[in-house]
Amino acid sequence: MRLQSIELREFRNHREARFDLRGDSVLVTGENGSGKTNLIEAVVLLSIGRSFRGARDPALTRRGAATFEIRGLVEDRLGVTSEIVARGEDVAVLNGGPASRRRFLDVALCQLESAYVGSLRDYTAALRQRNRLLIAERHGPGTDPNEWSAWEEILARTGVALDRRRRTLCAEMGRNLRELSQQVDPTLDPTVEYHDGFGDSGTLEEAAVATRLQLLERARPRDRRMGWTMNGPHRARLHCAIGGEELSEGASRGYSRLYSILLRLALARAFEERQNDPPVVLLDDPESELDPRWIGRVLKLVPESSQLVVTACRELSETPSRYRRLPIDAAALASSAA
Amino acid sequence: MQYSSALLETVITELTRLPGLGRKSAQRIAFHLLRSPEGDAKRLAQSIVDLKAKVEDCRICGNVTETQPCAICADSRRDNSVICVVEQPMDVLAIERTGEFRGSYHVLKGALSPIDGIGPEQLKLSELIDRVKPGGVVEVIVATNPTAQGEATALYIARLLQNVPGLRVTRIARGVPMGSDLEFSDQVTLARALSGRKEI
Repeated sequence: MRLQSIELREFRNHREARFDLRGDSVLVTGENGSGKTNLIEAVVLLSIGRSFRGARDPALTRRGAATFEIRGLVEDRLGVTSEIVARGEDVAVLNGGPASRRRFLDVALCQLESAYVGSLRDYTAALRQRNRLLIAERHGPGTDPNEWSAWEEILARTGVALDRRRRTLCAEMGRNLRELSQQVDPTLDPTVEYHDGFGDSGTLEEAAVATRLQLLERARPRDRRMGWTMNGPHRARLHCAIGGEELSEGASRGYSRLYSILLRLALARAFEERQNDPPVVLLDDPESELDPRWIGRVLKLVPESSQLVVTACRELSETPSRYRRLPIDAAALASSAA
Repeated sequence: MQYSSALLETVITELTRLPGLGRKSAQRIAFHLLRSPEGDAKRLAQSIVDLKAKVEDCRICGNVTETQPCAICADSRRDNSVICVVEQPMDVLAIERTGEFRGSYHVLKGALSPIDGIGPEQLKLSELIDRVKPGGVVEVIVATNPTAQGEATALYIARLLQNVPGLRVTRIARGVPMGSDLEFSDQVTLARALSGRKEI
């Protein structure tokens, strides 16, 4: 996918602005509060229909306006739209506990593998139903064992599918992560590992399903006491470490930020390898909290074929010459004095 | 807003209880009925009364019918050794429209969903066992929806009937819509059709 231009009307602090994004790499510069992140948010909104800040429409509309408008012109082959965003807040996503790390994987896999969407939907639905059975049976008479098995078979089958696809992607990202980090600093040693708690990756799919089915059946009394299903992909963990330190425990902020960007570039490479269409890479203010000596090297890691949009307050400490400069003031046709 | 006629108000209130009808639509229908010829309104009212009085569940298959058993169950040309299990009476219509199925039906009146308080007891499953047990049925085709609830119901039926001698329990395949280009079919359906592929 290639972004040609983005037009914003009454969006966040932009009254009317047009960004010409043609060319491979664009560096958007502007002061703090000039609306750089808002531009990145608009691109994502256009792609997934939702704000990454979790904001609802009224918050996205410029104060005093009734509606906002985002128009994007893309040059694209049919159907494939993907982008990789790396922002300062990503560190929080990876540090936000196992659930937000799993969501990171789920979002990536839903874009990469169509079958993943169906498995995830069925797994989530069956999980809610089994959890309801667990609670219902605490009060009432025993449920028919076939009813338990019916839900558990869906959980086992889709659970194995989810775990395998997640593990494969993590292995790909781990490989890419190692290669990419070599070019930044060979001593970093970043890792990403998926732990589902089953350890059945080496077995045949059918055997793994059968084993999980038994595990779920045996866990019924315990799960009933707890009131929820305690094993499965919804409990899996993504271990992220750099310099031998787990991100959420000992890693420094600078290392965490670097890891977070590297992980997304590793994902961008996985997208590039799997699809013919490289993703658009959006790097929002990479200089914040990142050691300046890393910047130039990190920027070189973006897949050659990807379009890159970087934002910064001013010229980067090492701005590659192929980047086209786009001062944000020049894009504003009529900007409010926000 | 309240109308000056309490009767009109009653009709509007009753209509808003129907699925998919908001107050605006209910008002439009009520005023339409008020202005329409008396015969039209009477026919509508009578048909609704008859519907409740005369339409019931077939005692064999559970489909809606005015006769006992229903026309499909009574049809001697249909194959009673094959039973197609569906969630709702509307699903019978859908399969009948294909003209491909000459067996009989069994309507469950729903699908398993503990969240909605629906367990095996709430579905017409004991009736299905009663039909299968005496023998003579060679195949049960489970045609519940391709949702998690439909799948769980299918798996439940498979387990329920696994020990009936001489009986095959099958599940309808998931596929790609006819007449459409693969390029445009939704990716989840296409992915599932791929995993459910078969030899030709």
